Amino acid sequence: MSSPILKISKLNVMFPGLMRDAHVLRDVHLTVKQGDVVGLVGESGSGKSMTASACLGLIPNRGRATGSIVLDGQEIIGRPEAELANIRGGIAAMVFQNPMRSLNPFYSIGQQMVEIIRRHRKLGARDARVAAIDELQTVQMPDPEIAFSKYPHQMSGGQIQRVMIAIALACRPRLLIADEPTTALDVTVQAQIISLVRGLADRTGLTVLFITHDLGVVSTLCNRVAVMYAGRIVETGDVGSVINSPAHPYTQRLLKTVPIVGASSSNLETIPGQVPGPTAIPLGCAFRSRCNRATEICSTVDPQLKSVANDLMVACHNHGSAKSMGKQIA
Amino acid sequence: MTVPGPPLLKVCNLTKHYPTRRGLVRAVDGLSFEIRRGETLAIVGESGCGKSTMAMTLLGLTNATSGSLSIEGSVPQPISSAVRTQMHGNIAAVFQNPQSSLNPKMRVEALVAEPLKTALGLRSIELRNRTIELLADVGMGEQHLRAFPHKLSGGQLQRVAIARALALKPQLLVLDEPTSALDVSIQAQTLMLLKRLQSDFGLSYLFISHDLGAVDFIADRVIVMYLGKQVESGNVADVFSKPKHPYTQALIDAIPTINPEKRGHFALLTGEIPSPLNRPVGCSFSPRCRHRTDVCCSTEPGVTISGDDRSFACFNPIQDTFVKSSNHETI
Ligand SMILES: Nc1ncnc2c1ncn2[C@@H]1O[C@H](COP(=O)(O)OP(=O)(O)OP(=O)(O)O)[C@@H](O)[C@H]1O
Ligand SMILES: Nc1ncnc2c1ncn2[C@@H]1O[C@H](COP(=O)(O)OP(=O)(O)OP(=O)(O)O)[C@@H](O)[C@H]1O
Ligand code: SF4
Ligand SMILES: [Mg+2]
Ligand SMILES: [Mg+2]
Repeated sequence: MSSPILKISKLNVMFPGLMRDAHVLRDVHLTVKQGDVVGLVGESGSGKSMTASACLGLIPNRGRATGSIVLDGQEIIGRPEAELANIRGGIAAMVFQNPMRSLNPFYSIGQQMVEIIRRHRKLGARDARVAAIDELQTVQMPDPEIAFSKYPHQMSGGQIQRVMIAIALACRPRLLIADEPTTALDVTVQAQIISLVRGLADRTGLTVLFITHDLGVVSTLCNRVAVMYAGRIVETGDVGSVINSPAHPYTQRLLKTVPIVGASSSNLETIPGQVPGPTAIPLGCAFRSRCNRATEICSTVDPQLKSVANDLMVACHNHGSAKSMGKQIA
Repeated sequence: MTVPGPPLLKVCNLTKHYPTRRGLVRAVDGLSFEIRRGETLAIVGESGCGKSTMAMTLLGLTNATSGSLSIEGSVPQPISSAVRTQMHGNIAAVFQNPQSSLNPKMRVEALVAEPLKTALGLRSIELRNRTIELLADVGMGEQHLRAFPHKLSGGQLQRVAIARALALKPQLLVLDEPTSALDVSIQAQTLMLLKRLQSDFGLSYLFISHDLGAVDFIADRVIVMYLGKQVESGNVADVFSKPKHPYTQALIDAIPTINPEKRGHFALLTGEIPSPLNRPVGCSFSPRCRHRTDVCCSTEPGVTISGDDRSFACFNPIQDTFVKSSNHETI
């Protein structure tokens, strides 16, 4: 159970522009072993969704990808579309960030589920229907048979999100890529989804890449975490180490911004400044202008992701555990 | 910050039923509450319990099946007509996904100017000045005027959506999961912004969210909903620190903690999945409740009002000394 099912090396994604090119992903490295549940976190626009899409060969039209993505032994970069279509929903399935974009408003939930299930599981219409309703039940949908015949606009935000998870799981993938799949769920349903995904990982060896901005979810669900900033993974390792003693200054600041119930403060921590956009990545470290540890080298040399401890990789010239700076966790 | 006097809005018995082939979906079932001037009322509850539906009836985006509305102590009127006449222009909304609520083909300037033009008839220099003023209110500058939505981050887009919502100087902003699509540091910025705007302009907020940390930070009072009904309400600090209703307790227990030592210890609600088509007899929460007694399965609990603005609907409310019990499945 320890061979990598997904290995991303030196992945770069660039969009040519009239004035300046947009470097959306810059040398992304990530290795995911079978059965791992990896949390992918990071500032909005840092490239989490792009990384996920790239794994399924879904780079938007004008984008250029270089580097390598090996999924279950097959190179994704440069593979013809027809073969990619088989991989999607086969080996790997994805839950997209914006469910309304992946569902067709003119077909019922059931029609859409049956079509996808039949394409990937070679089931007859009747069995596919049973499988779809089963899967709706698994994701805690109330009245699954009724949900089956509903149209997307007749469901609540959280119900739609569960439909998306059900569709992805119904294809029985070995790798599940889920892009912010629980943002519309209340915490009790979210807990059930977390327990479902964890159970699948433990029992069936399902591998999961889980994009979220909820560090609590990462902590409860994932065994590994990767933190992205401005198109690059800046820290990755075992969840306990990264959350207990984050080594990258960005991760340290990120952990302090979480509002906590009962904290009774009238102020929330924010990270002052802005992420540099993909068309204006500065020389040196991209986090420099917001970093309280920056030294001279940070403005000239771009730090690469390096192993700094057993099972912990960081891209920072002045990395180091900052327990004393870390958030007081309730 | 709450201003004394009659509440800005008093809603009685708000009900919204969707007829479907399989029966009546009771999305919102007899909800009563008030929103005071300058206060933030939060609504939390199970996904599908009717929060967005309730907000849409107040915004006039869908007609309520029944219910009445009184504004600043006026004579109560049926909700749908009150929303069309009295509330018009006084209420605005911000939704979860700024990407899908803002037209991608319009520049920031045009997006913010649109309501000023169509509803207030502002033109030329006046229009431009007010647009810049609104953007400044949400912390954005003239350099953003010419930008298209796809060039902005999620947090910036949400600021544009807030600026648009503020254009007509509403008294009430409905915020339906305004921060759940944003990453944590931008969430924090947006919550701080909302707090500042509220004290600058004396706004009232109806804040719908699954993020109990955000609710705790921004709201004064909270209503907990389950299957279209209110099961508990009160001051946020009281409700979250001493929940009375077992469902509220279940919600609090399910918050995923960031503390890795405590991972794997959060409680899971078990039992039948609630259905708005097939409401359980007695208390709606009874099939999943660990405090259930015989009466819960036959009689619907009434609302108990317990001092300090606190109310709950439960036969066996949790006592203050209640310690988290362990007969729940844990992961
Ligand atoms: N089709 C495109 N052309 C050019 N740039 C793009 C395109 N799609 C995305 N980008 C840019 O790529 C960057 C990364 O976007 P991505 O959606 O991966 O971010 P993210 O980390 O998922 O953010 P969020 O948390 O907001 O979902 C952003 O700066 C975005 O503007
Ligand atoms: N047009 C419709 N026809 C039938 N049922 C509907 C329709 N619209 C909503 N519903 C149902 O009404 C209930 C309440 O939906 P609503 O969107 O208000 O929930 P919500 O509390 O906002 O949930 P979430 O937290 O998931 O956004 C849900 O069970 C939903 O399936
Ligand atoms: S009334 Fe009974 S079943 Fe309902 S929440 Fe209270 S104890 Fe539980
Ligand atoms: Mg994304
Ligand atoms: Mg909703």
